[in-house]
Amino acid sequence: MKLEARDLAYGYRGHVVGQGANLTLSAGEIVCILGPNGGGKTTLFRTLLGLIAPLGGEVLLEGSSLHRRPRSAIARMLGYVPQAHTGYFPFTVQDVVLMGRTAHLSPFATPLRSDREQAMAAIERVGLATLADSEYTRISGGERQLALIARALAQATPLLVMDEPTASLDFGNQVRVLETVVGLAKEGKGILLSTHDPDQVFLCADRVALVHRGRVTDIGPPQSGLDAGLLRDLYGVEVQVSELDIGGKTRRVCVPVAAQSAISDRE
Amino acid sequence: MSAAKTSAALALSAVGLVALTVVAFAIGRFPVAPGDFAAVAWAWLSGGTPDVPATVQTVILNVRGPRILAAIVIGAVLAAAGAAYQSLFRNPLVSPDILGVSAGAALGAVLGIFFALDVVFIQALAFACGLAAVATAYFIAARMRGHDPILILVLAGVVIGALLGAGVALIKYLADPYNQLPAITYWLLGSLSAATRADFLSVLPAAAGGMAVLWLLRWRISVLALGDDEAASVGVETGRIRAAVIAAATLMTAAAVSISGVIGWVGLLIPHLARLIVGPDFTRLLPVATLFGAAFMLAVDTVARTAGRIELPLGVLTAVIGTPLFLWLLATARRSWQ
Repeated sequence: MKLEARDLAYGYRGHVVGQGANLTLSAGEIVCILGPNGGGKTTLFRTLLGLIAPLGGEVLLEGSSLHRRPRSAIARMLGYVPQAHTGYFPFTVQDVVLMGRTAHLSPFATPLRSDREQAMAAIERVGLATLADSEYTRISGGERQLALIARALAQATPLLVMDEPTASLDFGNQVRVLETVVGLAKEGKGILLSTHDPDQVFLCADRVALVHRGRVTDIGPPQSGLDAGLLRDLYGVEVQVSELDIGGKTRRVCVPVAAQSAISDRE
Repeated sequence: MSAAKTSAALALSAVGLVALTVVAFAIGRFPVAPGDFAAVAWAWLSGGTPDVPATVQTVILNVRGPRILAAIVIGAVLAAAGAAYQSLFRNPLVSPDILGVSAGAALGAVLGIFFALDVVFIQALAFACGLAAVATAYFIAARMRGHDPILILVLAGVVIGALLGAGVALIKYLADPYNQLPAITYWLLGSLSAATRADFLSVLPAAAGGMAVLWLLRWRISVLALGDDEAASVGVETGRIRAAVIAAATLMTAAAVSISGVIGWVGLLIPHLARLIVGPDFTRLLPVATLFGAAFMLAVDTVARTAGRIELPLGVLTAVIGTPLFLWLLATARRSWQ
């Protein structure tokens, strides 16, 4: 199972956001997308999900063009975890997760008992079992994000696209979500996720791609490819990349330098 | 928990609807004893001849019967269409005429009255103009790509509705003030006083057809409430489902409005009330809203024909009853919705 962008130009009619993008996502790997605000990550994702048509090039899913496939066929292979939002109506967590089963139902059908069981299993997997009957609109932002991940799990797709799944979460929930993501990759799912935090890339990514100034650059494994120079380029601030010894393994971390100097100036 | 609530709401409103129907047959300018009603109903069902005076039979079968059935169908249709639109547009304050169906039907009917057409043609014209108004709004919105499709659709509907409203105002201005203007005003306020068996039968196909579409697509309509991107990403053909729901809801609303005139509030208030009880899942919301709508409309129409010495206009009554009820819902809803 493979999602592939070939020489992709993406954007909206009359407005090219990015072009010449080449990117692949295969089963079992985590690919992180790193880029500044307004860099076009969400537009890229919408194009990769087939929600908007490419302006040039193509998106291939299992080797054939995404945009000519019926939505249900795409949705059985490619799941989407959007950024958590409040929602419009007070659906229960269980209802929201159950909606992930839609692609597996015929057009006029409603979910069966087996669909409900899969939804419940997904809810338990992300640790929300006690909130299954709560209203989705009334749980916290972190719980909502977990519910959306559960929905994608209920959808049972080999590939997942996650748009800043940690953006609105507190520190503990960020780590919890990332642990879930790593666990899913170990089970063989391919995960494409965008983030603002280079440390998260160092923590979980097999490969990292930078989205910046209308270009998508796949720089391979972050441990070797992502350095202070690239990050400075990307975000326009001084950073230092250091190495920490965590449980006998070396992990890279990214620390802003500018803040450090501002602090020392004050002293 | 919700399933039990849904069953309870369905059972209660079904019992309420039956009780209301019996009451509606009994009361009015010509009171009908429950025994006579039972005899006529039994004879009608079994094909015999009831042992009651002919006047009573006429009142039950030809006067009150068609009117009661029309009220039930129209209430059901407006509430179901409203529930579908609220899910579709992800907004609990949307009513079935948001895309201009009532404004179109009103212009059609008003034109028919202005040109002194036969009542059948007035109804046909109302129906056709209702469909045409929504079709116009839909295709204008479809031409404007690159916008939020839902926002542009609602705005197109509002604009078309405003233009058609100007058309209605022009005809009222030009109409004969002694003869046509009262008829126009009466139509615009909504009434079932002239409902005949033929009227009821003419709404039935569109109502049943539209209902069938909403029922078949009920799960997907529920999922549409997630928003377009998310609904598409779980496998819903959002554009096509939306087109099908708009077609179904417009067809049934246009058919209803063409015989009753413009009746506001039902399509806004009843789905809202039903959602407060059974939640937003459309598979549960649709049957409950439909039954509530039927019962509400029948109750209002019964009040309309019995409360005063003259018939009260339905549109006025639904507004008078609807406003306080809606405000009460808003005040209580803050707890369960938001």
